[in-house]
Amino acid sequence: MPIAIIVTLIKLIQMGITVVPQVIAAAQTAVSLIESGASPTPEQQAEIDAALDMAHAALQEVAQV
Amino acid sequence: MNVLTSIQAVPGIGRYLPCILLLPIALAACSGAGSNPAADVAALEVRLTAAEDVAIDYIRLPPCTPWNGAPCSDGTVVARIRTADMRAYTLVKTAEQTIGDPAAISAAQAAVAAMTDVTASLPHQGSEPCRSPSSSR
Repeated sequence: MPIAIIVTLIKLIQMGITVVPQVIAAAQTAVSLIESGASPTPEQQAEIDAALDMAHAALQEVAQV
Repeated sequence: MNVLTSIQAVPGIGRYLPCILLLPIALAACSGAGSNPAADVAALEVRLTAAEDVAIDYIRLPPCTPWNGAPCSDGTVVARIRTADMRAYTLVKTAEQTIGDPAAISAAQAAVAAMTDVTASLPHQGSEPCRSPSSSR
């Protein structure tokens, strides 16, 4: 997982904020992809991957406590 | 500014966003346009991300005890969420790496559906349970 995601994740957890903005961006991308039937560009895939990785890491972190 | 960005700007909408986000994804997926495996996997990733966001809100509720009422987080449910999430995440990542493998996509779809089924009925602080439209797929 990239360092930037880890740092962002820690900040979000400290602030008690979930990953909604990242989910919104990824959702916008996913809807446009499904509607167009196109494959995601590397940038779009990276955006979707980052949102998923961040939410997954946050969930596994808070579920451990 | 598109619709999702406009929705995000509404004050106090934050806790409802994961529910709202699943609707356009589910509708787009049901339109029949999603015949591209890479786009299908991307949509699965976003559905799982939204479900995880709902689950995080639930897990952050105060733990259930004999002395407090709902909303609270049940340790058994949290364990189910954690297991379902780990399975869904692993299978979605596998599907992403093996684009074009129908078995991998099917397995990922089933795992994400199992995760959204768990999160769809979770209570949230100050809100009604989120019935995910994607959980019926």
